[in-house]
Formats: sequence, structure tokens, C-alpha cells
Amino acid sequence: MTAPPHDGTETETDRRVAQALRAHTAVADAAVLGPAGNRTAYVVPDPLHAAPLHRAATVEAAGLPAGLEWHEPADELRVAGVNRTESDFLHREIFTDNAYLRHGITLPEDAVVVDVGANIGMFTLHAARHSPRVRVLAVEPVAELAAAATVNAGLYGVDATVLTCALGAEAGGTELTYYPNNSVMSGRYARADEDLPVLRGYLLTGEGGEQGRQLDRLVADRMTAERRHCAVRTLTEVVAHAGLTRIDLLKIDVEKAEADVLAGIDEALWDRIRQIVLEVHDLDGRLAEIVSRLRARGFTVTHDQDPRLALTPCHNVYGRRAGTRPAAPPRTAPPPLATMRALERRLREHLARQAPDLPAPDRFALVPDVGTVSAALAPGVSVPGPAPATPRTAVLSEVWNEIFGPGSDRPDADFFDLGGDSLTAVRLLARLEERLGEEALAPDAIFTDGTFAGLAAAVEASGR
Amino acid sequence: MSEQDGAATDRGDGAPGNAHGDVLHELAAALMDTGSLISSVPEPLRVAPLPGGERWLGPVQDVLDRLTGRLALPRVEAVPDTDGLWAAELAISRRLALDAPALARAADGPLAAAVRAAVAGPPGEPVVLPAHDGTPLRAYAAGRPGRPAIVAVPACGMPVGLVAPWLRALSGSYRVLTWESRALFAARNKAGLPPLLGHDLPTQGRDLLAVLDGFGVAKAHVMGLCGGAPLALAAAAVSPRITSLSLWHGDFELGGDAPKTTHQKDVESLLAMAGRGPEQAAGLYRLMRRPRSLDKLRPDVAHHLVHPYASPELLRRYGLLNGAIMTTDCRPLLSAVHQPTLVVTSPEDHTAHPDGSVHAARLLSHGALRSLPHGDHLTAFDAGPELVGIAEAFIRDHDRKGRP
Repeated sequence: MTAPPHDGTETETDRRVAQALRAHTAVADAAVLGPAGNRTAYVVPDPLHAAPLHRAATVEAAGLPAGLEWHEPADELRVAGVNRTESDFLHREIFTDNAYLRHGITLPEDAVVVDVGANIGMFTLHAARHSPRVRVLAVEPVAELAAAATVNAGLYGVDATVLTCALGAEAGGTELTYYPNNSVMSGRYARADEDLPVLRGYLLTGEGGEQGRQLDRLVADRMTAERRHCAVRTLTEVVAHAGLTRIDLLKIDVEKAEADVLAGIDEALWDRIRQIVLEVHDLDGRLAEIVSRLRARGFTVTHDQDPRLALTPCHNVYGRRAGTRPAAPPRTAPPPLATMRALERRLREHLARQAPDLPAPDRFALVPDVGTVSAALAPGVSVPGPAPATPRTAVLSEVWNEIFGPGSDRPDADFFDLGGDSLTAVRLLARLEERLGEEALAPDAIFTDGTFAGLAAAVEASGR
Repeated sequence: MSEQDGAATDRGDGAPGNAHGDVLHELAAALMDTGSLISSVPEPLRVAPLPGGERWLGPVQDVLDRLTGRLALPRVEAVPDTDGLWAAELAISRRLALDAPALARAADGPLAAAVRAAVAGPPGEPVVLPAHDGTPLRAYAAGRPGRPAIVAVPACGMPVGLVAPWLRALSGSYRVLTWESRALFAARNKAGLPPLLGHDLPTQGRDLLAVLDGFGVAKAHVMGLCGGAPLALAAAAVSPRITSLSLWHGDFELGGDAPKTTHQKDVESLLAMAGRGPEQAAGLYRLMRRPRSLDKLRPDVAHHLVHPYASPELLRRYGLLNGAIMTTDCRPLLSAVHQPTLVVTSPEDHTAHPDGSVHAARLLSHGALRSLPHGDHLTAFDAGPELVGIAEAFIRDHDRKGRP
């Protein structure tokens, strides 16, 4: 159950590997520790040459907000997100397909962008790639997503303010439907019966379109819904509160609530909006109505539909006024080193060139400070393993043995194979909560990995 | 021929007695019986036919569409097999027991008689009555008005189908009333749950009195089944309109004076966690979605028992409502109830500890304990001949004694 103890002492070989790693511009510091077969290079990313990774290591050490995990949808982009598939989807839509910055929509060098329905802030990051001194006001009502947007803006040093609220015609509060497995369709007007065909339509088209029962299962999983309450503010009020005197681009993607957002814009603010991009759900002639309203306000308007959304009512509308400020020049510098996989690839190439005689580490890990790792791996302390013998794991052992009998806490022992059922799971959760506090173990963990070792890892993670 | 026309003929109206009529009657009745659950699941619901039925999915879907349409239920989708179905879908599939070849043969048959029989009850269609705080309560009545009244109080969160055997057994001689727990049952059209305005035990006890008011019943005998027992006590403690009680396999919180089963403790833990908030409820909901959560449930009533787990919000509310029932100390209520009370249990009940009933009977000033040698927890809901006989004898005896 427990990994073999390791005295935390760096061997001469590991010292030389660490020294070689420190010679790379993306590395501020490094240490290589661990037994043969599990040698880990603990890397402190350079705050200048690998700034997003440096910040990610700091965020990780402080603890990612609940419900978030790291995703790397592209070689140059690491984000905190809720679902990997959604991070991939958002990256493809916004970065690869450039869904918002088309049909003449551009951003000046110092753009002011209002990102309504920011989700995890993917468009905020995209705007920052096009406008080096962008100022973003991001609005997202789902707390987990707003937290992700905040982390992500911080990762890339974007000047962004993230508001956790919805926008509407007037201030107040509202209920919204949150699809945890399909957050991009969450919203005030999300309704499973309406959203289901939209999701099915999306999943049926495009590359690798899903079919049959697999599609049904996927749809059912993604339409699992929660009701949430959130505050509602008007766009006029939040813009005034943020002190914005102009909006170079107003981007709205709020899943059927777009008319509400527009209704919260007063006459004075309309005059200060230079460009607008919004996703419109063409229900009851809404597309034609919004196009007409924008034209009446002096925008040159066009609209299109992503071919992958051809079976859905979703369209994008683009409006711009004459005299829009000139676009920032195309970026020439490469994006910063921002992903673990890119860093690891570069460091392995670097070691192969600079220290071909030394064995490369088995794995790489980000840390904000090598000193913390050395302390954690001081003599007598076990190296990280699947189920370290910590007080939390010891509590799990006690509870597990109490439920399933003495000696049943083998690493590969499976909760359900031992006869556990839903109520037994509740008992396990309750006993752990009594000893370790609330949220000691998420109910899902039991069927994500119901082995003792898997649950021990989850119990350890919840204590961090 | 329209269904209406068909209903007016001697043959072909879907009446029992011919093969088509039987299968349609059974399916209509099963859909009504699972209606609460079908209406409460927040996502589209799938059902699978009995093994080997995948060849006839088209006709099965047609019959399901026509029947759910006539019964004002949300659409359910027929899928080839149970692979990938979650607990509620499996429980409903088992109850519907879709005999695909037979349904295919009956697919074009008229439905009028089957639908009429299914909605005739008991329990029949609900009457929506206002609780004292305005919460709409789905209430049911069986038996002729004017007869001596009985209110059956099922366990919290259970659809009326679970207590329907009592309605059928007693409605020949009594006016039998019941209702479904506040704020836990969606309207048939999936309009959503009514707001949860209050969840403590006294509030739920007052719902019983609101049901009496709604049906214009001045006084009644109250049967409390399982978690319905504390609720019956809460109502009886404050109202003389409850003339007598019977408490069947009651689940009582007695402040440690009586032991509880592991099941009671586990459910208490579950309710406490679920009631803590939407996130916790959602996590537990995902746990309870697993098909294995059905393993220890009796198949013929599993679709009733899983109702409170049909959605995260339902589970959260169930945590609050049933949590209040399971954790409110019943001892003050037992001291305050002076109406004649029959307490029934069995040492074979491994769900609600029989010693709870034994101790409760001791604390009642006019309590009588009847410990039956056999009968697990769910037999209290089955309304078998022995239990019905005991209930009728107690009510009749009290009714005679109580007459001026």
C-alpha cells in the first residue's frame, strides 16, 4: 500500500541532471529526486520565460479553486477548466476557428473588451493574444467558471475583472440552470427539453459525430442539470462601475439570454460600443429581430453559422460601426511557454543535447519552490506514491476495515467488489466526515476509482 | 376508426379479456404507477423492453407515445436494451416490463378503455389542495364521501402508488385519503417542483390537517406508515380531529432510548449530507444513479423507493424534509398524544428497528403494541389480509367505543 521509503537525498547523478535543467531559460530552479523508476524532476518555471507555468505552479501550491483542474487544449495554452472536453471545444471555437474575430471585427492595441458569458475566460485569453494591452470586463454567473476565468486571466497577466453575476434588463436575482458536464449551455433560459435537440444536433455533426446509444448516453450525461441562484446586474451599471468609457468589443454568448443583456444597455452606453459579436439562438425570429435592431443603431451587421452547429438554432451576429479604431499589428513574438507538455518536451530535448550521458527523469512536476519538495522528501518521509501512509489514509483504513472487516484495506480492494452499495458508500462518507471534516471524500470518487488506493489518493487530495 | 369510436364498440376497445386489451391495460396502469418518477426526472427518460424485444422498438415506441400522451405524461424513449440506463430508468423499465412482441401486435389497438381504467384508481388522479402555507399538495381520495375517514400517511417522498394497496383495501368501507409529501412531486407536465416553504415536522404534520380541510373531513383515523408515523403523531398532538391512530413499522427518533438499525443510521447520514446544499446533493445523486443502488430494493416497488433520488434538487429537499422527520425527537409528541393508538411492528423489520415501536408504545398514554411474528418493513405497505384485518378491527372497535 505504501511506496518504499526514500531518504530524499539527491544522488550525484540527479544533482548533475538538475544542474543541466537549471541551464535552460525556462527553468528557474530544479531538483531531481526519487528512487530508480520513479525519478521526478521538480521544476520551478522561470517567471519571465515561462510566466504562465510559473504562475500555475504558484496557484497549484495554494490550491486550485474547488471543481477546477488543469487542461492543456493546445501546446501553447494551459487553462484551469471544469471539463476537458469543453476546454478543448472552447479552444477550437475561439482560437482555431476564430469564431468572434471575423467579418471585420478587430481589436486595437489597447482594446476595451466586455466578455459576457465568459465561461472559463477562453475569449478573454484570445482577446489578449490580439490586443497586448487589452482591458477586459468578464461576466460569468456560474461561480466555478468565474473562478476559472479569474485564474486564467491571472495566468497570462491579462488586465481582467471577473464579475460573478448574470446580466439582464434590470438588477435583481435569478435562477439559472447549470449543466456541470456541459457548462457552455448553462443559463437563465436553459431548458433540458429545448437544449437536448441542440446538443444532439451538435454531437451529430462534425468530425467524429456520435451515433446511436453512445450519443444517447453522451447526451444524457451532459444534460445532467443543477439549479443555481445568481445576482443580475445591467450592462450599463457594471460598465459604469468598472469606469469604462468605451467598449471596443462587446462579446455576448449567454445561451438564449442575449436579448436580456441588450435590454440592460442604456442609450448613452450604446453610443460607446464600437463593435459587437453575439451568439443568437434563432427562436421565434430572434435572429432577424436582433440584426434589425443593431442596424437601426448604426452597426454594419452580418451573421453566420458554424457548420458544426447547422442542426442547431445557434448563429453568430457581428456588428461594427464606421470609424472603428485600427487593429493592433499581428503578433510576431511566439506565445510564452505555457504548457507542461511543451516544457517537458523542451527539457527532454535539452537534456538529450546537453547531458546525453545522464539518465533523463521519469517524470516532471511543477513546483513554486524546490525547497518545499526537499523538505517534504527529507529523510524518513516517503516519496509521493499512490497511497502514502499519512494520517488521512490511516483514517480511511480504519473506516474501511470497520465496514468491510479487518485487513480489507488492500490497495486493489474494490469498494463494490467487497459488497459496498450506495448506502454503504454514504456510511463511508459520513464516517470520514466525522473524522476529517466535510468534503473529506466526494461521493463521485467511489465510482471514479473505487479501489482503496484510489480512494486513499482522493482523501489525500481533499486535505490539501 | 378513432379511439373514441373504438371505445364504443363491444370488441376492439382495448378492454381486458382479449390479448391486446390485457397488454395495453397493463402498460397504461404501469405508466400511471410510474408517473411520479417519470415526471420528476429532469432529463429525457429511456426505457428498455424485456430481453429480446429490440426488434419491435418502433411499435413499442408508438404505443408508449400514444399512452403517455393520453395520460399527460412526458415522453419516454424506448431503447433496445438496459445497457447504460441509470437507476430510475432501470426501475421504470422493470415496472413497465415491456412485452415488445405483444405490444407490437396491439400497437394499432384502441386505448380508451386502458386509459380509463388506469386513471380510475385508486389512487386515480390527484386533487391539488393548498397547505396552510400555500404549498400545493397532491392529494388523493378513495371510497365514497360521508363514510368514516382514514388518512394514510406514507413515508416521506414516496409516490402515492406505494400506499395504493391500502386505498384499495379500505375504500370499500371507508373514505380513505392520502397525499404526497410537500414540494417533492412535480406536476405531470414537468413544470418543476413547487417551492419548499417549510420542512420541519410540525409543518409537515399540519399538511395532514390541510388534507382533511381540503376534502371537508371533520375527523379521521390516521395510519402512519414508516416515516409517516412521526408525522401522524405531530398532527395528532395538535388536533383532536384525529380520533385514533395506527402506527405501522414506525421510524421514530427517541433520543437514544431505543436502538436504530444500520439502515436508519445510513439514511440519516445520507439525508444530513443531501440537505446541506445543492453540491452535496448533486454528488450523492450521482452516487444513487448507479444501477447497483437498486440491488437491495424490492423490484415491484423500486420505482417508488427511488423517487426522492430522481434529481439533485429532489434529493436535497428530501434531505431536509425526511431529515426533519428522522431526527425530530418523538418523545414529546408521544407524551402529547392521548388518542387511542395501535403500534404495529415485527422483529423481522430490519429497516426501522422494532424496539423503536416497542418504546413508542410504552410512552403513549393510550397505546397498544402489536408485535407480529413475521413481516419485514415493506409488508406494512402491502396491505395484506392480516394487516388489513388488524387495521379494520382496531378502527371498528374504536369507532364503536367512541360513539356517543
